[in-house]
Amino acid sequence: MLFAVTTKAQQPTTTLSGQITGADGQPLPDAAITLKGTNAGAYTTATGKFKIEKIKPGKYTIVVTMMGYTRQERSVTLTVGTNTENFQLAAESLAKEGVTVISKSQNRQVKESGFAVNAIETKLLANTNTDMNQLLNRTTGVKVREQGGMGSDFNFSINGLSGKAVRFFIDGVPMEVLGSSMSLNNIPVNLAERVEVYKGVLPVTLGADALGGAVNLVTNQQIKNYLDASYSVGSFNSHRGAITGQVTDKKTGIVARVSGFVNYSDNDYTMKRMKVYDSIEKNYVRRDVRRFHDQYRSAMVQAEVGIANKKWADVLFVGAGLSNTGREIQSGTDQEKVYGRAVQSGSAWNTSLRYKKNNLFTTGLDLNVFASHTEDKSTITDTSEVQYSWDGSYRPYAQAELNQIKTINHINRPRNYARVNLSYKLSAAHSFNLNYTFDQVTNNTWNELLTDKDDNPGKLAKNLVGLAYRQDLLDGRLQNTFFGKYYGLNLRQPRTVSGTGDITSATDQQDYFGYGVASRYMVLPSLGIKASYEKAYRLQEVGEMFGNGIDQTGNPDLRPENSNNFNLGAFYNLTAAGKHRIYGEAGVFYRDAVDFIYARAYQSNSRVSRFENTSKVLVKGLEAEIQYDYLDIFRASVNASYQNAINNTKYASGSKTGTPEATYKNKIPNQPWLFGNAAASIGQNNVFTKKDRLQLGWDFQYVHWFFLTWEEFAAPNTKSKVPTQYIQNLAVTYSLQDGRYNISAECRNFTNQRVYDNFSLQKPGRAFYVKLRYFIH
Amino acid sequence: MFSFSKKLVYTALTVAMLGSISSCTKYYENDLIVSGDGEQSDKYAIWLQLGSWPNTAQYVLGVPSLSSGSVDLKGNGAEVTSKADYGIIPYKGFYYYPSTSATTGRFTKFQLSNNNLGIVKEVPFTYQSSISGYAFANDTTLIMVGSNGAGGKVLCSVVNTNTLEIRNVELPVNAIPTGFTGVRTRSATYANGRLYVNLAYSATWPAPEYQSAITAIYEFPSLTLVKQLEDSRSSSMGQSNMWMQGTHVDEKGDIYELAQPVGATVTLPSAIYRIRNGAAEYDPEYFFNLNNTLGGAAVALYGIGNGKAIVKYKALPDDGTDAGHIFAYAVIDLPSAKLIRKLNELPLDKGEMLETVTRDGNTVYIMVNAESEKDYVWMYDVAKDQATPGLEVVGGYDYMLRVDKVK
Repeated sequence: MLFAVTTKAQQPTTTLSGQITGADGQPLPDAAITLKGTNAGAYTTATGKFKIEKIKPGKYTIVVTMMGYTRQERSVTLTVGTNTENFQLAAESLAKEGVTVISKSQNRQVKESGFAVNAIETKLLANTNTDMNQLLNRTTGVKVREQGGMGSDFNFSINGLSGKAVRFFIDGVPMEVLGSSMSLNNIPVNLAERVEVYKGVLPVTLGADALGGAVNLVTNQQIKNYLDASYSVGSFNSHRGAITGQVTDKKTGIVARVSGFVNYSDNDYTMKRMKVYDSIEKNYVRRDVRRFHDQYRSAMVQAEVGIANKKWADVLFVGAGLSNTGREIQSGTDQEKVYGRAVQSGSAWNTSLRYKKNNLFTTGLDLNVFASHTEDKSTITDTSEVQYSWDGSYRPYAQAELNQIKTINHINRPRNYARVNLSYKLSAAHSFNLNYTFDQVTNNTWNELLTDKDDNPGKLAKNLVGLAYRQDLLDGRLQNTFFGKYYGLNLRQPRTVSGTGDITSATDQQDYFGYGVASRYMVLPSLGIKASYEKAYRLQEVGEMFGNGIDQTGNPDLRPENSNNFNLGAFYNLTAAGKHRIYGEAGVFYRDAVDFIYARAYQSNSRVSRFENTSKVLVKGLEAEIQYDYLDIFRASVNASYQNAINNTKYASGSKTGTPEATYKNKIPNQPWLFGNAAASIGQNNVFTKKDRLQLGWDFQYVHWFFLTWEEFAAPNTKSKVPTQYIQNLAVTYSLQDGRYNISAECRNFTNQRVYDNFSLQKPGRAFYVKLRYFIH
Repeated sequence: MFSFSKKLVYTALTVAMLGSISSCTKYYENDLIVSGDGEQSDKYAIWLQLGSWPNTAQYVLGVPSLSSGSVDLKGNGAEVTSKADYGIIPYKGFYYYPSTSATTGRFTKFQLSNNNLGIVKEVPFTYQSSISGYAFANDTTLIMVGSNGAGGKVLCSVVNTNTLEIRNVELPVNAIPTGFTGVRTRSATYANGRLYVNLAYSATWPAPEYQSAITAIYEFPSLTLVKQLEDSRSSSMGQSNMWMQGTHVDEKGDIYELAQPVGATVTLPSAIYRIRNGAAEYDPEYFFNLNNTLGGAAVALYGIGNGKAIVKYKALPDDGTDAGHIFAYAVIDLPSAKLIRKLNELPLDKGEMLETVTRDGNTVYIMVNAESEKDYVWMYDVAKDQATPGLEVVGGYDYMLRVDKVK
């Protein structure tokens, strides 16, 4: 045996190396090089270089593939010693591959990093009437639970953690900076080029205390001119308009960018079999009714002007934005409560400065700065002492609709935000990233009917520092990112809540340290495995620490919510078969989250509550996705997510020993735990005329039913459930002139299912939309 | 290529069709109507809440006996989330639920049987949004008192429990004293053609409420004000909600009312006042200081016959929450204002604002949520002055909200 191995080792071998570059001469990392008919292959490193060793000399066909680029094949004869072959890849042109395939390389780089991340191209849905929530709800591990139609409140969950555990960004900047009217349920897909969903472990570039994960919308960062304008109209008097574009003056190098949207809907969809009182029969009966107080509108415009590619600045932009929303409030957290007059409105403006300089002072040192100021105001008006029924009738009531007393509640939140990012590439193998964010917000809340300002405004300042060190070892096959994060929290409230002796101080400085690691190893050029971990935090808010001085008392001992998050995954990328492409990924995750903060009744005789660290949750789960493309003709994907969230709170509040609480180790109720999606589209170019395209798309969402309350307890027939959902959407799009003019018709929920994200809160049934889109670039 | 595409279209459509066929889903509808005369009702019921925020859920469990055996919620009991909650009135085979804690604007009559809290009848009810006390004038007349949301009005609703016809009246009260922001109702008591309503004048929290034990007396059914009694030796007369009892009418028609001052800065003691049958004043001879007698403040009062009562009191210092296992029970003699004995054989109980005591004849049932020991409904034999464990509630449930004699 030993002899045989030795003999084999002594056979003459050859080495193939080279570099892969794009048409612009820039090296292309992560391109796959294989020798046809063998298992030999390699992936290019960050410098675009590759090396395949120990090959038997002979004739081979080298195949070079990379998503977003035209595949190349070259026949060579490899001789003993070292052979060098360089390739230059052309980006896949629109004419050849149709509108759906444009530079996926960045997307793929994100997917194939050590982080557990969904990276989604919005281009695929750019012609449909889709908002970000609908887009992300179809990806693995993500569940968005909306309370109604367009603009309704929603809960965004990543791998079982939701609410304040999930943070939202646009180009690495928290979305709140644009004002609270910006949210994933009103941003049209056309505004971002791609979306990244980080699960449990966040790169330091996203500076935030995200316990469960984050969503980052990435807008078009190209320098060239483009315009994407669209308008859609549909059921329930729904309208959506979106525009994003850029012009560059070649002479001066001045760049101007604008993006904006408008949304409007009456949301007057039918609610099936609602309980209404029949005054003749003197009884409650079930009837189909239309929603009557759910109108929603929102508008946003954001503009930037600046210069690019100067000696002293790669990018320098100043920007400003305005946004405005208004909405009628139709129901509470279940459909038993109906409102007919309460309304909510908001407006915000912001100014910002953006500066970027690569190779500052020395090669490889890049600086990125963003600073902004935001004024964000919203109002909830609840001044009617009436109670509505689903049939639109109302009766006088002993209190206001939402609150005990009549209120015009104002919430003003001025915010200062700054982010400085320094990255330094020491060599191809070692790079560093230092990220600092300062985020300061003052929270003013007052009821106009009682006072004209907040006597007790809370000020919250977060100083977050993240430092990451990345290694690219073994010719880029092994990538490790080690990071540490500092969370500095400064809370201030000018007036001490007195009278009970509960508050010891109204300013507080707290420091926490988080850390983590993300690794990826390419087992084969087409197969990678990855693992990541982070000790993550969700910091306390001013109101949680100090109370509001009205009906919430402070808790100076409150700790941040924190979690140990683990991910393990693998991905497989098969493009070798020419016209067929298969991409698959699968992962498992583990979240051990403790100290969740909830308000609890404090002195039960008074109507006072206090925030406490009440509960612990353990989440384990797995998810997988497969995508298949056949040229630009057919595309299909299917994914599934399973998560098992367990109540890890051993003792009920007030006990530290004794009998464990009955629900200890039980599955957390009222949470989807099995869901999946499938989508397919087929398209044909040059159907009626040259450069046109006809595309048909179908997608399907499945959510398995779940219990509203604890599974084990109570007689089965009395248990409330959120039923299984099968939602299907169809869309047909016709594009002319390489996707410049597009018209699409869409039918959502075409089987007219009763749809519930939340218990008893019906969402829209079958709906139709038409969208027109103009796109040049 | 076109035929290939066509095939795919057909496949896609077929899959879509399959999806639409497989959708025979049962949707939630909260209206299991039962017609009942109360005979079918379970005899006793236990209300429980499980889980920690935000995943708390309430359940009601019908039981034939509270004196022996054991019971648990595994596959047993009715889930009441979004249907009712423990702010509910048990009376002669039925539960009456004004939904003021859920603010759905309905008044519902339920019957609990076979693990089903079934609706007997339901009517719109928006006159009140926070009911604090109730009393029965007779078997078919339920009186509920409460305040409006702003806390400026005292509201009264008189319900015919057969037809659910409701008569709504705003009750006259003395003007809100200067420096106070509103009036809140507390317990309601009915005796001999009069309705006794406990009141409190509230201030902006955390300032303490008006320091006086107040009872407003009304003729019934005219609901005219007879007199409003005030005494400053204690405050917060009765209970602030209908989750437990704070007043008692004895066999002689004398009314005993528990005052239990609340708030961190309050130093007044908890005490029992007496209004003699037919009198329109606090008995000047009578003031039963329970802090002195028990060594801790009393939080609830349950009459058990023969002039006796059970009081629930704080046996250990209070941390400001209702979460500690610090509550104990004692038997007192009301006319003589004396402690009979502390029921020290019971473990310490958790949670003050819970209806943990109910009486059936000579037996008083006390449901105790123990920290470490097993949880029992204890039986106190009034004649023998003896407490023994009865029904065991297995599973370590927390909170234990109510124990009711329903029928």
